[in-house]
Amino acid sequence: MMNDCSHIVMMLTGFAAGELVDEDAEQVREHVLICPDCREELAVEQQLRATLGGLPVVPCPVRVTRRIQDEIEMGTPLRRRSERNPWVWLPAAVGLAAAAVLLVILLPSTDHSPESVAHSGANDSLVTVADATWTRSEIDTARKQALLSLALAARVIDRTEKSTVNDVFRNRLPATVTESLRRLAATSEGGQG
Amino acid sequence: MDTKIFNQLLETHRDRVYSYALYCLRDPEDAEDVTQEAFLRLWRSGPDTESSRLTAWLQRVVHNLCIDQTRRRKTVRSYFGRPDTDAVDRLTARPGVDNDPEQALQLDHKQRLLLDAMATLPPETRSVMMMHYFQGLTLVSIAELLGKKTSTVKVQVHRARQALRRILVESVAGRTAEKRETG
Repeated sequence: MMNDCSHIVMMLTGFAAGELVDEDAEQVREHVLICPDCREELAVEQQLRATLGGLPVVPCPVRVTRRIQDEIEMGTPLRRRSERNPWVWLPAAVGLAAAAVLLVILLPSTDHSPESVAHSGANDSLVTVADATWTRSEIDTARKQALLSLALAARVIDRTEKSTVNDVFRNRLPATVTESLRRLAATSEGGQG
Repeated sequence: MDTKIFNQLLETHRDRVYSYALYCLRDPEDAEDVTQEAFLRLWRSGPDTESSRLTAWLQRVVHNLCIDQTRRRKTVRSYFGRPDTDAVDRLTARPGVDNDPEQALQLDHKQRLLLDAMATLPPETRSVMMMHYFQGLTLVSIAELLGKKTSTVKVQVHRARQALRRILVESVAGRTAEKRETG
């Protein structure tokens, strides 16, 4: 590259857009005639401009306009996605509940040796159930699935109204997890006895 | 704000605002939310000024909303890992409704490659690129709108072009080869 190339390349976007004053535009024009590197850089700039400038304008969905106008004209509270598709919470809640139960059961056993886990206190019976019935690779697989479910649920939550999230976390999810743990404990006691 | 002026702005800019958000975020539902929020903010707190200034104000709001949305998504991923996006699509898909307008568009191969590559740029840079190349704003206008120096915006665009260079060079080479064949 030539000495003034660094100065020229910073002007290429403005040059291709026709934004430069005549004097600067002339300077660029003369330079690219004798500098192959800057000529190529200008070609790249023109490709970028043609490609992004040629992106089609996508019509805004009618429902978006309708919701905006409803909000403005009648003061109707804006509905977000979770309210437009309330059923998306069903798999999300089930996924969260399953993930929470699996994590409660499996996370301690993957972090400690079976011996130490067997004496780790309140979760003994649950961990024993896990260790006795699942191999370590099955536990790891289940743990990955649980984390995936949580990630999925997190994505749904990210798109959802705060009040709905509160309802799920304060009411629905605790009830589901409590019930799942109660059943698991009952099964565990029955199996050991 | 006067309802008539607002409706005119909505009518004139909604498609471009939605498209800009769609190309920045690559998610039709996020783009819908950003479009709604931008126009509602314009209605609630848009400055009482002439139309051209309102357009710039709206563009700045959309730019900020797109960046916020990208950061929110990134935060979720950093805590919970990258979600199974196919599963999310299955989960949120509505039967009989085309849920991906971008897929429905007849984008050419190069446009898709470039949009994919742009997804790796910082959100602010991506937004600046779309403002200049897609929305047609001048570098000076973008700088004013974002409260930056024009030279800063020039550097931002130059660096983005360098990052996208490989894809663009390949397509320049392809075009040259095509010319040779036809010539």
